[in-house]
Amino acid sequence: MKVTRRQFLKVTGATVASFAVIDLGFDMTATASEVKGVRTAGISPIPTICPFCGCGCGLVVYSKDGAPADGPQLLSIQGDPDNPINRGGACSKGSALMNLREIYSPETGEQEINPERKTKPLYRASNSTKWEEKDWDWMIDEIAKRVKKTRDDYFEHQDENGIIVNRCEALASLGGAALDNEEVNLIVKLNKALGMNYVEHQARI
Amino acid sequence: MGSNAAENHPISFKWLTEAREKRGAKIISVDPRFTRTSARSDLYCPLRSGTDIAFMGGMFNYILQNKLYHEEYVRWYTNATFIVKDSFGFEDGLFTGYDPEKRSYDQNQWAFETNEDGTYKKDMTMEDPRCVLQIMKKHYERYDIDLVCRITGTPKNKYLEVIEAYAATGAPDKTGTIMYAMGTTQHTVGTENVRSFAILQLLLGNIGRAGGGVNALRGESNVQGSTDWALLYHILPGYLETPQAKRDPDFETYCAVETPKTGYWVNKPKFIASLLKSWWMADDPAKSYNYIPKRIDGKHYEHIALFEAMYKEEIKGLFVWGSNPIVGGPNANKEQAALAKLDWMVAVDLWQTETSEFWSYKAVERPTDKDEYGIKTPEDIATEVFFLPACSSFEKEGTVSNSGRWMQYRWKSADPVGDSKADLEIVHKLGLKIKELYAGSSRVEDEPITHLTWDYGHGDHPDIDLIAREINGFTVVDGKPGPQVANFTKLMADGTTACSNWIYSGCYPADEYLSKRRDNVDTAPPGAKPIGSYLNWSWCWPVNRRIIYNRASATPEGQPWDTDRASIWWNGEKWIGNDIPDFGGTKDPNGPGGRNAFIMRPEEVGCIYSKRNEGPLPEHYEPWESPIKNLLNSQDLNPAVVIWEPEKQGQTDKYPIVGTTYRVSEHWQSGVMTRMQPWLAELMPNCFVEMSEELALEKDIKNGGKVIISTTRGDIEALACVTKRFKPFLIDGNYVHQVGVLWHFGFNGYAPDEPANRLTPHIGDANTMIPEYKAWLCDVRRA
Repeated sequence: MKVTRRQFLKVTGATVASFAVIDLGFDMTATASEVKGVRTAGISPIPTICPFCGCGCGLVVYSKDGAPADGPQLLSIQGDPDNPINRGGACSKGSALMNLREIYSPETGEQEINPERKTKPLYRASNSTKWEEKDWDWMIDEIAKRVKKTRDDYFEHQDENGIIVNRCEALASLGGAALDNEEVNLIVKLNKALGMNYVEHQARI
Repeated sequence: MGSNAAENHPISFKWLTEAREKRGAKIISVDPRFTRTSARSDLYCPLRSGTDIAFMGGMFNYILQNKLYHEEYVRWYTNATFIVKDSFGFEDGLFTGYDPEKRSYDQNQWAFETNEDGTYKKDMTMEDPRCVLQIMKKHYERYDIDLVCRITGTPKNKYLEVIEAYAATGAPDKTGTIMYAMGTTQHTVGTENVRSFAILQLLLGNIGRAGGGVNALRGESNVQGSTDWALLYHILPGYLETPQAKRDPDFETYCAVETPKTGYWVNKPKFIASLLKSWWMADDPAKSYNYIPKRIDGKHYEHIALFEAMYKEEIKGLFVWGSNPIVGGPNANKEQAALAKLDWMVAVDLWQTETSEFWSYKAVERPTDKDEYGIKTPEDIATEVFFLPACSSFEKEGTVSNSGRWMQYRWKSADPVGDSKADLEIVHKLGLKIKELYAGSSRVEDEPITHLTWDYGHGDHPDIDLIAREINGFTVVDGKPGPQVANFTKLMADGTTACSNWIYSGCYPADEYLSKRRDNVDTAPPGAKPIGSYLNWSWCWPVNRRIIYNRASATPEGQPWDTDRASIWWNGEKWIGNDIPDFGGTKDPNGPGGRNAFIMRPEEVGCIYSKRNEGPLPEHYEPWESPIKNLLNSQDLNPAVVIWEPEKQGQTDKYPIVGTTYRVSEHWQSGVMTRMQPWLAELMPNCFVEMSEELALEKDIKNGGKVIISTTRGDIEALACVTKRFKPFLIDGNYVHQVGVLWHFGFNGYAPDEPANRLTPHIGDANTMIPEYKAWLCDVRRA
């Protein structure tokens, strides 16, 4: 799908109003009163940290109270004026952050879930040319079985010198540099319990 | 230098322009290309990719010859005074102790002289010809300005301007900072490139001080935290070494071998014991130590080695947690071919990445017939692929640690899309299921799983609060989590405490997860100016200290070098100031060890001279693929790197142009996050190769036209971006062209295009094996 210039202008036009108000740290009521139909009026912003580079800029998310979980919820995402790192600023990626979840349809101009987001677990069988939708329980069961089989087939409890090594060189893990600390805390624990030495991530490349 | 901050870390660059406006700071940009950073700098200075050490060596030489270094700082806070053993020597690019067969050194030959009591021999006058300062002076005498410029292609007047401007920060009341990123690290000499920055900053007295430092601009929101958590083969959480079988056969040996005799790391047994206790709470650390996998001594497990092993069918199953190696990894054609040799792969991501769909027809298309690695079509690929949809950063909660080590909380502000889940929940479900499959086992080899402590509350979604407490650490009471410890000084080596990452201990000392703090008042003690510590905003490891090595911000006697930028100081009884002292809080500066500013080093001083795999001082070697011979010595390539594919080394007859890769502000890393967003995709819709007007004229290439870029690894097609930002380099009397390619692209998303890393080689740095993405040989032609 190609995005046209006309669509792009329409999209940014729709968000200008929402960027006019920042109600965290600054008193923008005078400006707000002059802008008709400000979407974020009366909504409490929720702080987050930008998921892109390592600066750690603060952003605030305005989302609609009570909006259905499976549809659009976002009103605006913008720089957090209270965060001392960026003091309200945001780069091109931070400013576009709501696109991670929601976009404006090129056909209708309506806000919708970004159609590139994957909403179901998918399985690709050996030598297949396509994905198949599966449920979470099936996926977790099947993955755990593969992990167990590979580990049991290739596990080394002791090496040739009789040293206990508890390793499995046939299992590997890549990535994780964009995950939360609490998440990587569990991933590294599970990887090591499985006997993985081949554990690498973005810092190496 | 080595960073295009205005483009890739734009908010960091705001602080530089503010420093210029408020303090009259001068911004210097050293880069092969005139970048967006260069455009906003006071001084731009070009150099050819891969010649940073020549550039830095010339600076060292000038600073040492003209005695522009910060003498008192160097004397007290660095190892410049240490005496080096007679066995150390250097000749024609090789240090003593080299074994050409193994391509490695006997590093013992570079050791320091010690006294009978084990302390180091020093010459506080720094005049002894065997002291580090004099050895360094001699080593860099060869790096004279003219020779450096012949290697780097830098105009001499610009080079001198940079040296003089930066050397001025050696004055005690001045500071200078260096911001670097992948332009520095992605070389066969990447580690020594970074070390040369550290050496420069130590010489000029710029480490541990507000406005100083060597700043690694991290590329991902939590590459800092995930490195702290050791998603890397060589470490365990908190920078503890992973055990090797022969070297560390049991717990007692590990503690003896891996624990230095001096410096703060003497506490290492407490940290490893507490980590083991958090993973296997019911077992004694001496026993559970053996549950951790041990490496084969000396075996390579780095990213490149991992894919080489996969290509040889040694790896059968792979987890990919938000990573896209067939766009982001080097030699992407080979890495794609390697994935087809797996039995199974699990990919966890928000979207279909090129890696999760490596088996599809889309992945096979190429602009030319060149196929060096046997790329297969879907029907021939047996690998089973499991794709698990993850939710985005604001559809879940948790913390990330930025480049400055601030651990900041992200609150959940929207629901996960569809059935997507937080990675936390995914790994939790997997952990529980795997434990279930092993539950009945009494086999000793299954104990690492059957004994694993995995207790994060009821239900599918783990209780993040319990994980946060495990990170902080607690006392183990009756085999269960007891009260949290205040910080890592309370951890014990006897199995009575548990802590899953000692450097984060103190983030949750009582009732509050300090990463959630949002008080942004920058306070200072009475009479002092704040320096931007923001001690009550979030939390920073270690123990909320914002500038590490801050003892070096004060004179040997304990007073600030510069009252305008005072970090900590001695008030006659204790250290006070704008930060948490990186030092014993009541340690008298005039007492024993009172001037040892670098407590994490066994020597307790900053290392100008430090054992790396290729030597104790940085020496210039050319990239693996280089347009010229090394003019400084007869070793062309770093003598300690591993050569994986000797037959893939491109030569100048077919590939005369220097190639490099880089990024743009609108995209991020392998592009998977940004090519999937319509606004950003439209702003930067295509891969381009940037080149000089001179090269375009020579090759009859028009701006915006399609070109083929080729190396021994593969070919890609991209649009030509003909600019004045690249200029041919005058290298030793001949003109050499350099081009740069964006590496954000792949076949998926709103802005599909070809991955530049099909061009880059499988060769890496001698210490870290980070790939040499930034300097290789190629050719370009009209498509």
